[in-house]
Amino acid sequence: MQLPASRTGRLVLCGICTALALALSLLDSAVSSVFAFLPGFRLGLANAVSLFVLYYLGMPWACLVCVVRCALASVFSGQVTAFLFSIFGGFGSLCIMFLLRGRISLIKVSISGGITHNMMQLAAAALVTATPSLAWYIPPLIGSGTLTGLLLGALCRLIFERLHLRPVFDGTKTQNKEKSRVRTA
Amino acid sequence: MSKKDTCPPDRGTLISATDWIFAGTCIAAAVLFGVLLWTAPDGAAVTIRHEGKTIGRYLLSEEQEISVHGAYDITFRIEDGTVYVAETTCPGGQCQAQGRIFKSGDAVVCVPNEVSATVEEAAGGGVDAATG
Repeated sequence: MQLPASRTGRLVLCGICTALALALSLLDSAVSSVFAFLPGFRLGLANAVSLFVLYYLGMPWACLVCVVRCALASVFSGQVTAFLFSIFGGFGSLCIMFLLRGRISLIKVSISGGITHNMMQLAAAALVTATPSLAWYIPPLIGSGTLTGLLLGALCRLIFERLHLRPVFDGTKTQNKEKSRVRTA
Repeated sequence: MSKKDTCPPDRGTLISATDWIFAGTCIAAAVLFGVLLWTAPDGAAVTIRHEGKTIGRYLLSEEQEISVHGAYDITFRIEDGTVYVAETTCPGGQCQAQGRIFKSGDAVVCVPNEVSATVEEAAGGGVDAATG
């Protein structure tokens, strides 16, 4: 699979990714209701799409997908607070993943993004309900963010491999040096 | 198309050892933090807030019900030194599924309704001791 050369091609791919992210987000809401005893728990399936777009198309496209997905998801769910939560979590995790991209492996970036997503949503909850003390929510949210981040990161890496794509910034500096040595050889 | 996009995929394992270590460290940190929180003393009062305003502070030793009317109705019940959401019209019902809380610092939050109940120690601030 080739990276679309034209801006139109990238826009089309971006639209497909947004639709996929929206569908996954709605599926996520349905699945998360089963885990109601874990407050704030989300699988974060849409984050896998954000991660893919961030690595494949870049930060501006990832931001675009995130905003459109959050807006449409809140329209479909009918809750205004859902938009605040989604945008807090989505942008927070995107910024962290963008900063870490190229410094650590894709899966570690995904885990960091998953944890940040949950922490930002917790911050939004503290803001909305004016409740500063929500420390009890942190351990389960770190745990769930780590597990889902690990699995979604592995899924994203698998997608890159199966599509014969290499994420531009995958791996550490050492790994990149090794790869460039192999290419020159 | 750049050359690096056409490179064959890595033949190594999908999740490397360092990824597992990183994930394990995060889980361990979460467990450690959870254990530290669990050692917190039992609370003596609960503060209920709605839309950023404190509705009241109630003793956990006095059995009572507190109803909050907002976008959705929600009823907290204080029983056996614990507080929990007894009834709610919120469609998600996540706050009800959280069960009883009694440790100092623990909280039940209903985000769509902007309602929260936080367990606190009795020292300082005084208690309203209002009944539902």
